[in-house]
Amino acid sequence: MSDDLTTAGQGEGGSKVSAFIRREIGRVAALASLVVIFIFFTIMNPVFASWANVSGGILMSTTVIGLLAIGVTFVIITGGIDLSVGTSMALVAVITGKMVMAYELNVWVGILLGMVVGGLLGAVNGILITVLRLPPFIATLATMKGAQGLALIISDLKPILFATDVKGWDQIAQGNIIPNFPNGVLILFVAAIIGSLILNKTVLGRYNFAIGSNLEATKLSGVKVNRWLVAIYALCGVYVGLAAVVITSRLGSAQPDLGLGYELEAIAAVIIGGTSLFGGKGTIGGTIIGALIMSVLINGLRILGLQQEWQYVVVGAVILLAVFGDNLRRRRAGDTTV
Amino acid sequence: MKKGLMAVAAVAALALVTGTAAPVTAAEKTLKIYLISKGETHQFWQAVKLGAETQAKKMNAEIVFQGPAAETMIDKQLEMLDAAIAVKPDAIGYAALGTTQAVPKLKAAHDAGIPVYMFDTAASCPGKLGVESDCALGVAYTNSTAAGALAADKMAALLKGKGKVLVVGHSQTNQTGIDRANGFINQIKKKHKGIKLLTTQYAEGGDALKAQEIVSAALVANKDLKGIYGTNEGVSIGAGQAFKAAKLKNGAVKLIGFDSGKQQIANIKSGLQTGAITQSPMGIGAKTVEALVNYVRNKTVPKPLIDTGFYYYDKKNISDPTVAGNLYE
Repeated sequence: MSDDLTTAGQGEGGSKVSAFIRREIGRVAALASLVVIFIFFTIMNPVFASWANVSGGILMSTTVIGLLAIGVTFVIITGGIDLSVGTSMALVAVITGKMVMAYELNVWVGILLGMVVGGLLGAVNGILITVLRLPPFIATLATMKGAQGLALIISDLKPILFATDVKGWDQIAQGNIIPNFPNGVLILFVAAIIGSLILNKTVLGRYNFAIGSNLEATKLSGVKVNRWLVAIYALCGVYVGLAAVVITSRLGSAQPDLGLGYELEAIAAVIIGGTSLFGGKGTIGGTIIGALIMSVLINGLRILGLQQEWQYVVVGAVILLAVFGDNLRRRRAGDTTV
Repeated sequence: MKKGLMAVAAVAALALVTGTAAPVTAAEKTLKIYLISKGETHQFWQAVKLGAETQAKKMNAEIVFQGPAAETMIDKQLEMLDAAIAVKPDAIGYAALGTTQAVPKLKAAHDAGIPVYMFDTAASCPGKLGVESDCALGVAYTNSTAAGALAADKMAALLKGKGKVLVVGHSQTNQTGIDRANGFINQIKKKHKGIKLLTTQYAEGGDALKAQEIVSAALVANKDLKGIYGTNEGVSIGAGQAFKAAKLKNGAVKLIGFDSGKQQIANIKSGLQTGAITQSPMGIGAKTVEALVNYVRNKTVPKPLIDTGFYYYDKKNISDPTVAGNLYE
């Protein structure tokens, strides 16, 4: 991850290096934790660091949550939240599966369809929040439930099988355009870079931060805030759609009951990555690091064969530590927001 | 229970094929039996219905099979139960949706002299089931512990009694999930000491993606992993996908799953998955009808618990009528 992934804004005066460190300390700390956790598991069992595990285990396990988390990052930076990403993913998976099977769509059309349907679902969230003026928590809680139900209804409670029927669908995530590097991981990284460019180099990104920092001031300066918010929720939805494509490819089927709870894992990745739940601050790079911390941790605990009950406890503790540590640093830096 | 599990499965199969009832005499009146199910359209319940009807034909009985559109509609189901009692049929079979709501109604049926036998899921009747109970004579259900043990025996046979095996459960809290996993684990510990079990992992809720990630990690951490047992459809699918992602040769690691479904059936046919255990919904229907007819006609008191059987199926027997009728896509 290069400078492309940093937040806008430059440290002025003094040493550029110290400004950079001050600005980046949250993410550097997150990256440091990632490295420490990685080294710990490697010492415990060297097979952990093997490429087979890093690519097929850790990175591949980051693809779905990672894509959802990138989408949610945009939303959280506005000071909002999207609880619907998990079940929306299931709904997109089911709709895409049905359409691809019914009309024998090719892989590329299927991918596009998933992203469009995801974008539309995201736009619905945006409209509920801006036009009906529902708080994001409530609006997306409602769409989370609605999507969960619709996924079950449309699928008739049955998984939709892709594998044998659609040529190449499994290659979306599991193929290797680059030898020994799963396409799913490539998709995640490319999506992260594009997300980072959108956040830092486009008008949408600028307004994204502006809305999250000070909604009223942004409104007063003549920005059509509602339109941008709908666009941002729709963008989140596009990432949800992409996650749906990747998960169906990984499973060879669309599972209608799969996705509930994924929203919290995605949100946790975003927060561990240093994005503020109160909006106005955040990076895609941080989110990817946050998602990696989660999957490195879970994969490592599985490799060690720790009992599941304790895996939950350890993951909870690490989320707590990560966010608490981040808070401490910010407070020391005189930052009043969390 | 576990000891005789093969026998149980065999008896269930026989019962389906040949029927165990006495031959029908001309003078007998055709019995009318209402079966109030948890659902009607799902393939599982269709199989229960088919099993019940087949058995009824053999025993000169007539089945009225009813169930609500969705398994959440307890009130609808209770209305159906009320209506059935009002008709005063010769007997009623009942699959409990809620555990307590139906109890007063079952008592009402008892007071009206209609014998009730439960199937698939029991309502929590007070006291012991049987003739002394004013609620129900018993319940015909799948013994998940014994089914798990059958999976263990099959796994041990496939591995010739030794090797590392991972159990991936679908729930740590749901009783069926617990029984399916523990049935397997206890049977391995008791009977197949050459097999080493890794720490059981859970893809909570049968999350196929989590199952895939669990199995991927297990394959990396244990180069000598020989077998995987997944306790439901989602887990089995996830494990199969992990094999695919790791580009394993078919059969390099044995995979025994549970239930059926389109993808799992396809995986078994293609050789990606070795086999699976299926419940016997047809057996559930048949055993319930058998118990009720024998009670009404011959005053034979049925056992309070009837194991309705289950089957191990693989590539070879997947199309056998006894197995195929119990599978759903």
